[in-house]
Amino acid sequence: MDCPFYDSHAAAWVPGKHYTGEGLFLLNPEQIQGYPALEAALRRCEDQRLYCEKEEMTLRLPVALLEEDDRFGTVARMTHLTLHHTPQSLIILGEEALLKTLQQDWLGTLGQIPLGELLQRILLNSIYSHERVARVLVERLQELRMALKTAMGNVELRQIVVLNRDLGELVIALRETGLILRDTLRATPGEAAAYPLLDAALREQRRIEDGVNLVYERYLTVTNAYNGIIQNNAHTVMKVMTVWLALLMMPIAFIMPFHMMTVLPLEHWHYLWFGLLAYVFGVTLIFAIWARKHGFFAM
Amino acid sequence: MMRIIRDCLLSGNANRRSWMALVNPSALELTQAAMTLDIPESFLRKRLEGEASRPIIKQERLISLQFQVPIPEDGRIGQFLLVPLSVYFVPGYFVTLAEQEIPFLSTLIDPQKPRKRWELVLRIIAEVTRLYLPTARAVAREMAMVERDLRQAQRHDVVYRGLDIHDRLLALDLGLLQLEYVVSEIGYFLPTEDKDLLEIHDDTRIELSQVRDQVDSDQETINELLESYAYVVHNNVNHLFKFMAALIILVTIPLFIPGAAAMNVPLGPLPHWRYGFAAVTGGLIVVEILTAWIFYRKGWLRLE
Repeated sequence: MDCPFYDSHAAAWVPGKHYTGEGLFLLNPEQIQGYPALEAALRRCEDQRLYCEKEEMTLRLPVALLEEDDRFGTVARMTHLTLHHTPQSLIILGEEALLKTLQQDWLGTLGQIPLGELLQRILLNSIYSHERVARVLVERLQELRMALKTAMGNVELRQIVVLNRDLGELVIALRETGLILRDTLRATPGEAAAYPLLDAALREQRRIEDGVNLVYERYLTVTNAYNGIIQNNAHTVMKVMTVWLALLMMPIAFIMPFHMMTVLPLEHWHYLWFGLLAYVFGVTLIFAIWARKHGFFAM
Repeated sequence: MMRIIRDCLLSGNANRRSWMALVNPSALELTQAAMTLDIPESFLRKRLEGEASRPIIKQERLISLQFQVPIPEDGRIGQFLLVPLSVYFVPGYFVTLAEQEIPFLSTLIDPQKPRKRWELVLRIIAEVTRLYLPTARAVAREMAMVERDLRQAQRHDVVYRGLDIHDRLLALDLGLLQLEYVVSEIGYFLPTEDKDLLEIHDDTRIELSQVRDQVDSDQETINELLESYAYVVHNNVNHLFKFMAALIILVTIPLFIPGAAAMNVPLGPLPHWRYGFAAVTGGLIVVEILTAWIFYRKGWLRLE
């Protein structure tokens, strides 16, 4: 299988047959088999998230993606991107789909960027992936909120709960990224070229974490209002059904005295039946108009 | 639109710089601007496209800042647009880039009284901060209107209006957060020997933090109130239920009192008694009035 290699002289991506140790490579986990040093670094990194040795460092960063779930619609999915950085090379290891997106969106126009700046670009991509996903989740949350206007069941509410949980996951993943970057910065000598780039990435991580955390907290606190909206929908239906029940009972109640086995007033009047029907339905109609004016029928 | 005004501000070495204002520029204007400034066009375009990027970028030949300016919508109190304003320092130029005209820029950038570049940026940020405050107050004031309608509300429209206020306050809060970040980052660029500039920076930071506290507190208030809004709406609907149930009880009474005199069994003297109808109906009316009075006293027949 080809592994995309960035040829900085030609300023273009070329399919490489093998990982050769120098330059920028995009690899999936299968492609590192047969390179014991790289495999060992990645294995250690899986346990510790960060592994530094001399000028080499390996970071395992969380990246947020979107995916479609049969039950809950658009949801967030967390995956990991492993970066192996040496003075001569930058190896980006992750699942195939993630690498393709990365290559298209972020690494398309590289020119002759130094490896340190490339590392920063990838770090920022990992950080911004959380913000991008959070933005989509918030849009979806707002759509679901509007759908709640007429919802009777719990489908929308359950989806909102999933989205809130996903937003929480994004905050946690961003914090994890922050911890990794802080540790990386501590392990990097202050005079190293990568130091200011890592420092800028860490500051950006803090800013994005603050923003996503703010969005998460604010949306979480209004979840109870959604419960109120759903309950109100059910109440409204019951209200309208009750007013119909009262309306149907009214003619019966008003006509009832004329069912009595007594001497009835106007019983010899030829049009009494019509008169009684007009009377009971007239009273019911007046009540219906009054009830409508007071919003009893409003759904 | 692109306009260049010469000698509007001073660089770090007190050299005069020109102001290039790009307002909703066309593709051609962007190309021209990039050529004049000798920077990649993508640098300007990306900022306009609103892609996720660092609000403050320092490169060899330029420094770029970006923050959101709240612009109130005409005639719609509490409604606003957050317009991204990008500022660039390029050799020879101070560039502002926005999708619409930012009203106070022309006042702040005065060729008669050119300011130092960082002082100008801090003054712009202070002005933006001052814009956030009345915008947030106008949004928060809508809560009073929602509360006024809440008394009669039977539907959750008021809750949705509350949620809309919540979203707008959150947008302002996020804008302020970005601004706060920019101000804190600017601190690294300021010359430490310029005490006046450091003082302006401190003032801006404090003012910004106060405005953010204000927006935060408004937002916390609306968050707490939203749940109560939903309960008030419930309660209004429950009042209707209570009223309906009382009404149904009242209309059920005639079913059994005249019903007793409507049975198909011998009813004694009642069928032939001249005042039978008046007596039973009169009794029914007395029972109805009595029941209605009790219900009214208990508040079950009141809609308020």
